[in-house]
Amino acid sequence: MKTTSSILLALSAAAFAQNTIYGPTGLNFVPSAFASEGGRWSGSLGGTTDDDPLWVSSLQGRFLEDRLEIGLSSTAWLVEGDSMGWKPRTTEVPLVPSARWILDRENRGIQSWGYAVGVSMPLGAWAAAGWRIRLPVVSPELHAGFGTPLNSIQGFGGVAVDLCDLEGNPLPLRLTLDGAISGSTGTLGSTEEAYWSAGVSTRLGRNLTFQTIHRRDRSYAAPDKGRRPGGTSFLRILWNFGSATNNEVQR
Amino acid sequence: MNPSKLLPVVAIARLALAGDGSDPRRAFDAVPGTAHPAIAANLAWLDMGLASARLSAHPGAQGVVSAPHFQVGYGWRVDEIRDAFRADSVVERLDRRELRLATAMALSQLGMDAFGRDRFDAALGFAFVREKAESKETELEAGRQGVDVSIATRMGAWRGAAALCGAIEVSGDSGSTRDEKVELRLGRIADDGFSWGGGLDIPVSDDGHAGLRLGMSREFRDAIGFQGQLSTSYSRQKDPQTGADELVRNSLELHLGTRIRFRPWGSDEGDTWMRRIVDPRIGSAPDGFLLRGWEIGVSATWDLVGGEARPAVELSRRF
Repeated sequence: MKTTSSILLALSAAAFAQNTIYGPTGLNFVPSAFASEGGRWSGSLGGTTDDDPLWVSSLQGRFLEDRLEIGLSSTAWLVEGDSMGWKPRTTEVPLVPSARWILDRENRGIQSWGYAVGVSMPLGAWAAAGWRIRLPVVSPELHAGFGTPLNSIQGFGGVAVDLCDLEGNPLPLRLTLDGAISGSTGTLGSTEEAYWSAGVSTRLGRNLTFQTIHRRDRSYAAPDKGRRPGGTSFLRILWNFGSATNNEVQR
Repeated sequence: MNPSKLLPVVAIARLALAGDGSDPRRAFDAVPGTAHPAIAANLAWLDMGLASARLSAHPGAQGVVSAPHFQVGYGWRVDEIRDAFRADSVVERLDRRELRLATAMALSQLGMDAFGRDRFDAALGFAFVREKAESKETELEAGRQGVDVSIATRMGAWRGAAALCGAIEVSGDSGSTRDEKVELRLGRIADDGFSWGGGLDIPVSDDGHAGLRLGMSREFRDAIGFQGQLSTSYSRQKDPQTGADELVRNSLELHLGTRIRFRPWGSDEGDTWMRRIVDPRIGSAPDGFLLRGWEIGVSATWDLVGGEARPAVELSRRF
């Protein structure tokens, strides 16, 4: 029992560094308004669990007191429509760029507020606000935002819950739920990322995190691969390294 | 009047007065994200003026000027009216125009502030509303002029308001029906710039629209705002196939928006990089940045049932 507690405490000391499948730090698929709490450099590798796996990978780095995050991802869209139907758009190696700027972060006691803007796929240019509260048993955080790649407008949001020991220290288990809705402003080549997803993350060590995600997309009237009526499941390994930078963005 | 023409007029008038679910300004006065009070009584507590022009891909446009005690607004938009029992079918397109003149007065401004203005205050407001709707298909028009009466209270950080829309009907085209309803709002504004609220729209007539709204807003450094709102409306309609009265959802919408206000950066706020965004010193103008005092906002409203998105951009000036 004592050994188990020691392991949990050791893992609690390492914060989650969770990047989305699309690249920026966030929940499962949607970016958050807070900077990552892990080391300066991070990456991920994973894939879908179906018979024809779709591989996803990403690399990120944080600079300027964590205000700026620059990343590369292999996933631009998981659902994009063109004259051939709905399909994912990925690259073999991380080539899809993303950037995020933490505009503001305010810490007021056990609460934190954040506001960030960024550019990433499939959201395009986006803005998001977030709120977090540290409680003894669970520490929830909420995020909401919207973005546009010009041919559509997407609203997104989600919640993450860190399970804690009774003193508010996060345990190595995080539950995430997020979603997005897209409204098209164009007719051809438009993104239709409208989904919800649920994920569970657990730290495997100081620098490694394992994550499983299940995603359900809106049912489209197009019988092809992008439709995935039964949903898609992902398994990912995320890692972070480098010296932990100043996570509290100064006012 | 030919009875065959009367029926469309009735339909247009009813639809025109019931279609406010997609207007984000008809939200909460407790939420600072909606800078212009939607309920007239809240005009009593404005401490500065604000003029705004808003363009939406609805399509529509709106201009509003609010100052302490007074407000004037003019809006135009095109509403697509759908068959409540077939969400994908547009049965009517309405060209709607609305002129709104409002005024209000608070008890504390009449010397009746026995509890102290910051602890408790109440206000009474009136809004004269002139609405007009024209069918793009039939080119028939219907209009009405009426007065909304509202009261609002503030108790510390809490805000409450109630409005009776269509309380007094000044005039209305023959065949048009009044859309009386009671709007109830309750919200709270915290010291850290976060505010939240909820609202109920209760129809007075059996065929009116009932609505529910939940919203939040957060202001960062009194300069950058983010707001969100979820709203839905229901009405009782007759199913064309079974003939039975059913409670039908007319709308379910999500509204998200953000804005930046360029303002003078206080000397006690420190020389952080945020000053360069909120109050950039560009050129040699004595007042600094050319846009100081202006607000720029972008927002979007999603129809969560149909998947349609309507972006909007807004430019405002404080005075």
